[in-house]
Amino acid sequence: MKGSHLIIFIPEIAVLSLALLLLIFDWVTPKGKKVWIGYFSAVMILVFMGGFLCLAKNRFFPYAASFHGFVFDAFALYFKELFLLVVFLATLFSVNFFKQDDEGQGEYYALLLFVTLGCFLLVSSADLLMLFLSFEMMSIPLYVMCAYRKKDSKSSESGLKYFLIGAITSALLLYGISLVYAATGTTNLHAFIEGLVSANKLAYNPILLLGLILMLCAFCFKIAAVPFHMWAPDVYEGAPAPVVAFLAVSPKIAVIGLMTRLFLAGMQPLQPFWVFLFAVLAAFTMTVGNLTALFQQNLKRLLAYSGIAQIGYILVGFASIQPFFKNMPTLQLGYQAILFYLAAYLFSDLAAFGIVTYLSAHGIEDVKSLKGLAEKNPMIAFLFLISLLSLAGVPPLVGFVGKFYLFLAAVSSRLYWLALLGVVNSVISLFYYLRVARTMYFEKEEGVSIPYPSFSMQVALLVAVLGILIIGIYPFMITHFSLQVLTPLSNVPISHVMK
Amino acid sequence: MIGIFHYLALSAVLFCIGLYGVLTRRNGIAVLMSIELMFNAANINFVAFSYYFKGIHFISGEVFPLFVIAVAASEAAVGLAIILSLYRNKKTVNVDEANQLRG
Repeated sequence: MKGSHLIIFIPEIAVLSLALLLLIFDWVTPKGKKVWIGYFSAVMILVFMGGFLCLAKNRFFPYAASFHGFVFDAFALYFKELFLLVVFLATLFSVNFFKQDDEGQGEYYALLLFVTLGCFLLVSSADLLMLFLSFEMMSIPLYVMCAYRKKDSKSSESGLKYFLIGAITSALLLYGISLVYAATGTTNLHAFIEGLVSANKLAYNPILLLGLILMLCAFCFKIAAVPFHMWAPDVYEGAPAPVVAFLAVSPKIAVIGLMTRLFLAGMQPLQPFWVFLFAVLAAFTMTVGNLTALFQQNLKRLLAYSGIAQIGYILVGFASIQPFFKNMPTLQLGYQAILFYLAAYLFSDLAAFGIVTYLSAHGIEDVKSLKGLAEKNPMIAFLFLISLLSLAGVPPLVGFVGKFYLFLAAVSSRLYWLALLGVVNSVISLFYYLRVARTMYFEKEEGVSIPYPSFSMQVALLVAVLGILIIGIYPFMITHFSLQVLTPLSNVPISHVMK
Repeated sequence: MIGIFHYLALSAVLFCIGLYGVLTRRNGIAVLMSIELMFNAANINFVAFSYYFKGIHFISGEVFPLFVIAVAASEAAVGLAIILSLYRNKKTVNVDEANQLRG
């Protein structure tokens, strides 16, 4: 490979170098000053975000380029910007959270970046080998981060549970991949999809179907879709709060991105199977997530179940594809809604988890200990209210626009029952979000006031809440971009292949 | 004559034994070993089919297990570290007794 082609790996190289640099910094920084590693990391991530945007604007840049196992296109770039945003906010959340127990901070920020690198590679992978390796690269550092508080038995337990579930997930994925390889004779996604399209007979090969189903199960485990969701609340409750904020967003977005690439770029011969499959998965995931969330007392568990429900809404987008007519606008609508909803989920969930991080640093983990928060700290209560309303889908916040697009896609694919179920679920979800709001605003309690959040937390919360408001009021900047991103993806195979 | 389906059956049996172990064993380390069995079942598939396909795409099937072995090793390293940290906190490696987190 020629040196100039290395340009398509620039995002990965940048993130990897930053992670290694942080490890060196950790070695030379004296104890007690480790907070600055976090600030440095956050600033560099911001620089990268700007830099990658410039990269996309550069017309000499090969916009859709691929090696055998790696694709770099606008679609991947969109996701890479999202991951950088998540890791930026998660770094800022962590800076003041870990101030008290000052051990292994440098490694912590590096681990955040290693997970991000795994996510980067996952949305860019065009080979099953690359897919498996980046899936592992995304998962393994997260096991360590869940168990980060070594002296806390809850944190260890959460790490163990996430590790066991994650390892089973990897095994299912790997066995699925081996069966797909056995059925098609290739691990390259493009070759494999072309094979699927050209030989219709192959689509009904039982070995291939079993392999694809096992892979889908693995993906469902990672995004915590019902019936593979049981781990999420336990892991979220035990793990440190900023880790949960990261864990609840980045890997889920990465896996959804990968699924979008897989299902949009091919699999048309299998469409009748998976449209129905996704509709059922979406219906169960939404309903179970929302109904269980009604009874939660712990804030992290509440957000875990709410996250499960959010994934259910996203799965509606996968089901919303006209199966009988090859109607391009409809096909775009479902996927466009998914891409939009991922951004909406990112901002809303991170704002909520940021506040949970801040509260948990001051010992508040339950809904009932939120009593009187509106008087003690009106700003925090207000921001929490906004993020919860956005998760519930109240206009004019970003969550509403996202849900509107998703249910519109469902209606235009004639999945009326699914759209209706989605709306009913949104109403159910209002109950538990507003229960939190009522506790904050209408239940008085005298108590010690909580200090205001530190500077880094203020910046992070501001970014997240501004995202909720601005994109909610002016959604077209993302919808426009997501259409551009998706259009080349649906024309298989990728035109520009470099050897 | 041993054909490709014998290998497929062997790997399926191995995978099921691993899955059974994961679901029934209570010792954390035994669960880890069962997961390794599931990984190796997939490896058998890869090697057998790369021999079966010979000509065209055999190389990815031969390279895959090498990567899988490395990944399995790193996963085991992290897993054992987490089990050790649980042991230090609770004096047990039993998955059942790690039950503080419950809704």
